Amino acid sequence: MSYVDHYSSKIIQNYNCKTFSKRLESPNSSYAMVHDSCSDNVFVEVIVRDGKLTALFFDVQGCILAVACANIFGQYLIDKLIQEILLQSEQELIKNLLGPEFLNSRVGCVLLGLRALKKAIEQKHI
Amino acid sequence: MKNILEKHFLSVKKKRDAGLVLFDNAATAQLSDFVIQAMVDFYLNDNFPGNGASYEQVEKSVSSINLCKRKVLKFVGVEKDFGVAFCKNATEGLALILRNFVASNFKAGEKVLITNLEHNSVYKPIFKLTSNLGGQVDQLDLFSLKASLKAVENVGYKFVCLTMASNVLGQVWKDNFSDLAEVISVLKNNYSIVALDACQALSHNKVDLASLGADFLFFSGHKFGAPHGIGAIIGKNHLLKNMADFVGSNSMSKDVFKDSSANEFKELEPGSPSMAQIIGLSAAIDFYYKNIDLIETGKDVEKLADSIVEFLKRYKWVKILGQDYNFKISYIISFIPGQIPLHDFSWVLGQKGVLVRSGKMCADLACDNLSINGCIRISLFYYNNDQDCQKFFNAFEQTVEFFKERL
Repeated sequence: MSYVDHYSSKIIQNYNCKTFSKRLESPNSSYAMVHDSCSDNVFVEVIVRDGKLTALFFDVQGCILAVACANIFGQYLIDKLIQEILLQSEQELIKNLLGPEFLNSRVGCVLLGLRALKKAIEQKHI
Repeated sequence: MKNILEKHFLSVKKKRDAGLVLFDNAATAQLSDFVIQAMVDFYLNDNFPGNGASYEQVEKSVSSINLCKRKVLKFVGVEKDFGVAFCKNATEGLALILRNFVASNFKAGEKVLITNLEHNSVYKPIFKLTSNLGGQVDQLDLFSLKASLKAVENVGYKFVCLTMASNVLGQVWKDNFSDLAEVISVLKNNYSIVALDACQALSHNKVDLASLGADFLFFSGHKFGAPHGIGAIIGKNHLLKNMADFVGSNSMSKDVFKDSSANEFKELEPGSPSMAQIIGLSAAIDFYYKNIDLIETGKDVEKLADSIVEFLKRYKWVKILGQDYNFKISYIISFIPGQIPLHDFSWVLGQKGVLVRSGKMCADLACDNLSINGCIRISLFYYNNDQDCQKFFNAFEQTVEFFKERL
């Protein structure tokens, strides 16, 4: 995968237009995570109602890929049942939402937001 | 000088032939052929224990350890009254010092002093330990040293730890550490224990611990051309003698070797000695003595740094760190590439073969005090050359264009 593909129009668009940038008033759970190799970090807040992820806040301090992918995964997972979210395979999500070429490079950046989101859900709702 | 150095770094040549520019040397410097060969020879011929048995080969290992310790002492400018204890790296070395001089006999309300530019390996353990013990950590502000020193001179610190060079800004002391010596002299008036973090300083500066007047100095080998996994604490003998190791495990070597060849301060080095790493460290120091004139090669590095700074200045939106405080920019050049996210900038540079570091440099305190969220860091070593700089300039221009089209 060429580095150019990391900065496709879809990635840049999701980096520039963040859907989940507003802090939640009464989150059920939150989680902070740091990417070991580069120290990029994410803070996520969630509201789960009736077993569904109904609201989400992401604060990703990191690279374009980490910010954009958190947004892309968030858009796909919002309003889904938490059991469904937790069972989603990372590989399948990457393949379906970003393309299989993203499986081989910078996976830590790609998954930073998703992993924090799953942790936030797990720690309160499992 | 450059040609001589390049000739001795096959490790650099191979990476250069693969199209790489090595600009992250402050994190890990490459090993010279001398160091690699010394370690290969050790494994081929001398891979025997460094303690705990009584046969000739073990005696040779112990002699190698002691020889390396003598070289380390000479390298940092002390021949007597000081000793050496090997450790895994500077982080472990400081932890051992902290265990002995902060964790024990600390009274609530006592204070510890560090600079405002410390690496996380210094700042975090000191802050955590001191806070847990009900103490306080003060910062010596290197941005306004005189005023800051005035404010702390009469405090009477339990422990002081000062970086000799910042891993974000490089040189932060002037005139071959004359101002650092003055600071230490003032702080020693109140009988503080003073330790120096020499990780970034040792490879680029002549260090004279005796004239600096500190009690301890610690470093990691991999920052200056020795292998990973070896570092050292150099300390005053009377302090080292009374120190305890982490686990209180090892006094065996003293029982076995009752003669003068016994490894001094072995008590502070629990477990089997890291023989290959010690051999590598020994060879790295030899390499310095044989091939590196710190003043002459330092000038070569400064010329490269100057050319990089001049290049970066062409981009008005690039902020070069350190200039606001009149620090001399030499072997470390850190900058912020405008609005382009740091890790993306370094990633694309890396894809073009130029390896730089990005982020907070494991120096959160320094970044906070510089009011930045991180930076891009170029760190030079003696094997870098004009071609490396030219490749960086080309890659930088291409990277800027790449993001200009997208952001």
